[in-house]
Amino acid sequence: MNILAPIDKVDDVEEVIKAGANELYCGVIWDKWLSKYTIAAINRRPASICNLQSFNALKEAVNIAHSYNALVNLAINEHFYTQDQYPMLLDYVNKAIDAGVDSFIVADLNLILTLKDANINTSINVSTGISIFNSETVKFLQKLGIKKVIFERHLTIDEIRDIVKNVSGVETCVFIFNSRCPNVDGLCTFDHVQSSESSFKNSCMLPYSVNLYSEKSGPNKSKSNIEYSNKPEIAFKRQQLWTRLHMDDVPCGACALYDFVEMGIDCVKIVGRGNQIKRKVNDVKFIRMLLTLLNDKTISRKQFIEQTRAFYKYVYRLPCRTAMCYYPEVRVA
Amino acid sequence: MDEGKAIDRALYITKVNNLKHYDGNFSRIYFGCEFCQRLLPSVKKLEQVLDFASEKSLGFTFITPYVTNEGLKKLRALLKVIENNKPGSEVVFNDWGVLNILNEKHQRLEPVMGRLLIKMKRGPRLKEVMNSLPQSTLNYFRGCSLDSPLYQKYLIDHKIKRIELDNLLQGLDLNLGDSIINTSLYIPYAFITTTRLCLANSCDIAGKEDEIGIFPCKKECQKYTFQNIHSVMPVPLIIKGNTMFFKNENIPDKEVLEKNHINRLVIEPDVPV
Repeated sequence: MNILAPIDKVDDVEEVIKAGANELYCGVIWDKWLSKYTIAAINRRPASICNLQSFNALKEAVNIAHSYNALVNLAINEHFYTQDQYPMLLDYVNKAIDAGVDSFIVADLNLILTLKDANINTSINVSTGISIFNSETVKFLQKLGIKKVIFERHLTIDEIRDIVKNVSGVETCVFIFNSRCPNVDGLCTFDHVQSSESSFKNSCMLPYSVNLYSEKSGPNKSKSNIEYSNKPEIAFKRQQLWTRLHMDDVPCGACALYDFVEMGIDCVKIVGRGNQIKRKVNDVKFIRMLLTLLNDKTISRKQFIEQTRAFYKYVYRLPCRTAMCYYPEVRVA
Repeated sequence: MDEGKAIDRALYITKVNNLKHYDGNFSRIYFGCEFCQRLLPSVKKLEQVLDFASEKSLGFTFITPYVTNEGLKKLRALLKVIENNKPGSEVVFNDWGVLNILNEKHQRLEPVMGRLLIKMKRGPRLKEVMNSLPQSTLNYFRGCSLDSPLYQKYLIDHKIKRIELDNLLQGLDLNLGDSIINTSLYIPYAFITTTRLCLANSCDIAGKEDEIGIFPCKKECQKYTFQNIHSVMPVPLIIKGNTMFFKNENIPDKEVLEKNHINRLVIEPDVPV
């Protein structure tokens, strides 16, 4: 099973591969795009810190990765682009091909069609932004010649197993670590701003005040019976929790590795563009260590889960938490 | 778009008893749910609405959510009922897998591309910054990928001639050109985002606040609707079940409707969950 890990700098490449990653993904920031489209980003990570700074840097990163037989995927994963953007977008794609990238991570059906129409043969991996919840969607995408699918985060292990059982001829990838988005990525239309300044935080991370709402009259202040009395308080607590789900409070799905190896998932994805290199390396090492543990075919599922939890607590100094668990059915069961 | 024709009005209901909102001024009934497969109707309820539409000589549109394989199984049974009882009905798909089975197995149903697959940005905060954006960025936020002739051809090749739209606070400018694709506009509730980690689940049980995941459901969404308010948002965010909406009752003027090929208004009497 491959580990797909993020890089943002050329210097990240060797360290992340040595930690155990076999595939890398990244973005490239492009001033020409930024000056024309400003906050309409090219890859859902508009911050400079989340991107390589040039196509020369991308080429350098690719060369280092290839020297270790690791692959480099370029994220061009905005949920949509308008026709006006395509000439520049295709220029961007061609620069990336010249830099030697192995595949593109794409979230827009029209971009897939456009790449095919332009006879671009670089592999296409479908981002979670296209929202794969079932095997029919995989079959639909296979007709477009895609190489790999990254499943939606909001699937249970059993649901993933059921998809994998019903498809063939396509590589599969699941999320395993960091950024457990509270909403379905591909069906979330909030602006993805990512700023530390409170007013410009991602909209899913704002500290909202929560009220009951009446569809007839708006905010509902009249309901005072016992059934309704504590609901805003509970909802408010949950909303606060919601704001943390998105932050890198180390969301984890590592317990599910046992099942993913068993069902033949090809790749696990660690989120983390923009994270410090120390954190990136730590995360890759953590997952690689657990995959190594699974090389011992005698280990039981129960033993693996117990060891994973203990290891998580040791490495991250945090308890296992349902709200930070990618596959909480493992934890609650 | 058929210029000069009066705009159609459709009534969108998620529950059979909301047929009470039918007042004779609608030409079509939308029935179903876009956001949660657990809210797919039973065959019996579907047949009730199909009968109602037939009695009143109304068009019928079945509206479907994103679905897992389990949801697809339920959906296949419902699609068969519609195809047998009212061939020619529309099915709004919000999942590419649903389009795949419509194209492969249900030739007598008309696929309509749902608003969840129109990825236009809907965060209400955008409205506040629109005036400070350059024209090229502004055009992006009022548009979507539908202005691509290649994409339009692909959709038409897959039998899609209608697209569903939300009434965005920043306005609409889809630049559809002379495409034969028509569009519908949902009034007044626009969806912003949706989740399977449903905050309504167990929301009335103290102590369960941190148990968020895809767990068995007691349909709490049918009891509570919440509202989130923050100073940076120009309008409240309405949360019903697993989905967040805003309300926009301002119907664009005729010129905007025509320019965006909007020839149908889909009226939502309630938050559609």
